[in-house]
Amino acid sequence: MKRTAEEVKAWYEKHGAALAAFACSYGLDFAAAEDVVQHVFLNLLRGSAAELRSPVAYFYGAVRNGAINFHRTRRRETALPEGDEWLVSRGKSREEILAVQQALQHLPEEQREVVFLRIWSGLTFQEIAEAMETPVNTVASRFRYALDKLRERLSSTPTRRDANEARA
Amino acid sequence: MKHEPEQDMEKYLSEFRPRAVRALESELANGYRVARFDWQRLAAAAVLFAALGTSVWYAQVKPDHATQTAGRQQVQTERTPLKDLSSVQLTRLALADSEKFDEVLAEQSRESLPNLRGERSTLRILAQE
Repeated sequence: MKRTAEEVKAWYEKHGAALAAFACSYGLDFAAAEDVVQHVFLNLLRGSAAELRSPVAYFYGAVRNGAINFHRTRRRETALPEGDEWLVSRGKSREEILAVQQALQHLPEEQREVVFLRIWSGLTFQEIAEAMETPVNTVASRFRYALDKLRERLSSTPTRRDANEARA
Repeated sequence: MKHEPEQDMEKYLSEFRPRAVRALESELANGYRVARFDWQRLAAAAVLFAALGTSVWYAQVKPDHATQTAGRQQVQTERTPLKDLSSVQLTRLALADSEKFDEVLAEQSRESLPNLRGERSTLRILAQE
């Protein structure tokens, strides 16, 4: 089904950045991640995508497949290119940003996807559950496990460690 | 209800945001360029088709033109006395109308070749001697 340009553009503006970051979490450099995301949305414009029951779930699935295919075709290693920032934050050091990126990369795929959908695509657990066709409790558990792992991994990061110590 | 460490971590992650991506407009514009390019190709194909059509039409019309030219030449040979035709005109006549050409040759041969049947013909004088 062919989508209108306005509809696709609105989706792209809302989810494009999060999807590119999601693609980067699979080890793509930012330019390649942008290409993968653009490809997904241009396919929508060309009408080559099937009817979407859940657009957001489709985007994440298509970007995940695109990132994996990118690695297959380019035969690149899945390690994150050094120094490529796909997250930004005011007042955070580059070191801290890279640490968060690496921590996200080390999450299992399904947990990582829930984190992206929840934090950067702004979906509720119910919406994520519908998008992933997974029970809400499972989604909530994945998110909780993901946050635990991130906290554990980031506890050694200077800024996070300082914040934790200050709170204690 | 969420535990405090979870809320804390979620809030911490929310302080980060994904890096902005380039606009989709440029890609859409590329799509429009593709569409324009298709129109150009269509226009080029139309021009090519018109050129081919003209060539075919001309090829069909040319034989008629040649026939007309030959007819005109025929008229020209008819207007000229047959015995006065030049070799070029005779050649053209031979190509256009072989019967007429035979007729012209017969007429010219009566004037240029010796008459063997007249009273003062060479053959008769030799026979008398």
